[in-house]
Amino acid sequence: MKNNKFQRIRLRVSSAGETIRFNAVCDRGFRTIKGIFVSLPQDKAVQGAMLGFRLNNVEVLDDGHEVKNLTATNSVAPNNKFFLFPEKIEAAGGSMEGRYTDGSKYPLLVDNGEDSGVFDPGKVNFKTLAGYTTNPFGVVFPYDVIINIWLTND
Amino acid sequence: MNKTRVIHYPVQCIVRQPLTPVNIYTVLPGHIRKVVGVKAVHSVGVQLMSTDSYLPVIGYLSLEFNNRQYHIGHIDVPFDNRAEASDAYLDTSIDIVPGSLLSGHYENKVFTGTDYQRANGTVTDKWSNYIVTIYLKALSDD
Amino acid sequence: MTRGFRYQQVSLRISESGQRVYFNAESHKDYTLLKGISLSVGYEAALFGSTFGFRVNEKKILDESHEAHLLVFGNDVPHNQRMLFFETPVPIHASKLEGIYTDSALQALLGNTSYSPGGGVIPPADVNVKKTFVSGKDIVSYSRVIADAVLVSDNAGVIVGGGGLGTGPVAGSPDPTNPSNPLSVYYPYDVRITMYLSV
Repeated sequence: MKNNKFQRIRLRVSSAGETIRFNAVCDRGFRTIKGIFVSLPQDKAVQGAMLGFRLNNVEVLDDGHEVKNLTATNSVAPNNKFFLFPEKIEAAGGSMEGRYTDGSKYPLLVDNGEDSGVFDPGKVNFKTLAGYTTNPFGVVFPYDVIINIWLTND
Repeated sequence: MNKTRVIHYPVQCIVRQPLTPVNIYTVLPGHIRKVVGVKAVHSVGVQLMSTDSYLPVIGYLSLEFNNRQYHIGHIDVPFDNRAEASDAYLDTSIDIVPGSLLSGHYENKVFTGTDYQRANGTVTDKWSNYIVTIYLKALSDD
Repeated sequence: MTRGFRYQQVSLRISESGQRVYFNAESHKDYTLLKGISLSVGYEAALFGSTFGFRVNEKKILDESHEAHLLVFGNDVPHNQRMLFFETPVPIHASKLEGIYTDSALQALLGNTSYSPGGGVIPPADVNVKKTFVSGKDIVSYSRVIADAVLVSDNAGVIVGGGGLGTGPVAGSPDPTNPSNPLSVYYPYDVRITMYLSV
């Protein structure tokens, strides 16, 4: 029997700032999740994009986790492209939930007006930016995000 | 918190003329016990004189620890204006005499022509002061 | 149930050139070691000369003048190396985490003429003009440092902000078409601090 599987989840992002929720079930034939790699077709879409990820209702990556830290250029050898979790995560048919947020409105953020300058990611509200039809990064929509989950029997 | 811990201690040096070596002369804080790594990086300034994002060597740094008792040799200082950092330090193992001097000199090797410094020693508009920072990875007991 | 690791994040919003932003957070109570830290900055051009200081339980880990670009990693670096990992993990237990990010902090030092003609070591007191980390106190929540006027007028590469996208870069900002400055900084931009916690 195989010991590795790269399970793919494909999402289509249609507009700037869009948030997409997804659910999936890990392949039952594999015991653990070893790593994750997010593939984006445009480099410009990486900046500001976020991916949250939970397994069996336990947080693995919070919703503000940057996709920048889950992807890599072709300068990185294929064996090193996956972000490897620091511990074995039991998968075995577990249910995955995730939330991908497009970051192309990122440069359009406004001063949040908070004195400390610190903000809660949950409070980021792009609605105040309604009316912008372009984004400075020039991201073209729609684009597809492929989330690769590395399952193993290690 | 452990009694001894690793800190990253920066020493900023400003380079104000292309042809005059910069003397380094500063007292290290008394809580630094040992230096386990050294690196020297360009911080700001050279990007105002160059369209390149990377220059392998902009100058040479010579460093001495413990009141000039320990010379670690010469370090090439690059200019790297790319958004990729390296946390690589030159490994060292230097026990520090509390309150001793960090000394040495830095010699600039770029933009040394007459376009940048006139014969009378003054710098031209093309020259920009720049800052080189020496980072010491050190064991501290503060 | 919790995992054996957690990437605790803090986000800061930098609204104008020279702004200095302080944060104070508590490490997640279920984790006992801080193993690494990294930054992510909205615009690469914002990195140079900006600084980030960090301390845990009022013990300094990174000086206030530690350069932000040394804590940022490109996508050419394998994922699991994209941090400043502490060789000795820092013990934590619902600990006080503090950071101070200063935009364009070091640019403000370039025009200083108080040193010898050739230059020399800049005294720490001059580098950390505003002392933020003082034991037992959070003395700064927000302040602004104005870049040296000489820099703004003389050097095309020094960025002054305040424009934002609505108005475009203000006078003195680098020309985006100028190859010497391929990336402009638009304000506001965000700095995300990721701290790698472990049980």
